[in-house]
Amino acid sequence: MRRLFSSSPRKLLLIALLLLLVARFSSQLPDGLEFVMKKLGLKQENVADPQHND
Amino acid sequence: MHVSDGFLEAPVIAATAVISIGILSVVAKKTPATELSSPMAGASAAFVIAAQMVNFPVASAVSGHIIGGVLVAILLGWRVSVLVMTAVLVIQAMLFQDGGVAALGANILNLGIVGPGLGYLVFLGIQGRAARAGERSWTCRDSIAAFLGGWTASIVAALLVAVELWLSGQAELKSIMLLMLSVHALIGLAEGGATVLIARFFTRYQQQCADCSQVPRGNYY
Repeated sequence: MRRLFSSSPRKLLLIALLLLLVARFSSQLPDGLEFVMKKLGLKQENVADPQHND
Repeated sequence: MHVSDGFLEAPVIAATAVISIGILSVVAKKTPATELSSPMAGASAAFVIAAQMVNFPVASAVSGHIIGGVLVAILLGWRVSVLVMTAVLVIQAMLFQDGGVAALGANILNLGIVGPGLGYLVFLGIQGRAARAGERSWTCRDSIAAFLGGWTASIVAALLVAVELWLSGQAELKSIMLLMLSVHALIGLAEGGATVLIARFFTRYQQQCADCSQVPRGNYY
């Protein structure tokens, strides 16, 4: 196990894997650009958006 | 902060695509194949994709995610970071519908080239010559440099998006600039923090290896 995570790329991949797990609990709030677009009326609120925009 | 299709006008799409392709072709030509074939480049791309999937709340109604470009530039250099971020943005647009395919040139310019590039310049400027030459280990000054570099990348990318939307006639420059800046100044704090934590961890690890003569400095294998 120690050998498995002995190098930088392996450590970075381990962190990426952990982030993917954390991403399941990611915030559902609109992201920065989406928020600004809704504020400016460029994007309507509560309308299902086929494209995940962030 | 990925721009979706339908928000940018054709001239803006064309101009950003031409600029991005031009810079990418120069960077790709000047980057040695050995730098790109290092396992760290692939691992960095995987890390950035995963990190951008994590949205964290920054205010009561807004969330944000890190970009990761300055972090990759600190670990691997700006040229490799441009190519890594481009690969990430292409994968996100093609596979995850995260950012539009037509807006890919704009997204690469904002999130892969200019934002991280200026952020990395801020990092290098504050870090100083001694650190660049590898004459000292990671210090508080490096942490400040990495934090401000990450924050700058977030702000610059937000400004570019605002200008592109303004050029496309979507909103007034002043209102979109103010909104983008106020939101991304907050998101940039997280970008800076993540850049410091991860860059410090990997730089220290690299130095420890070099001290123990196990792995030569700069060799990630």
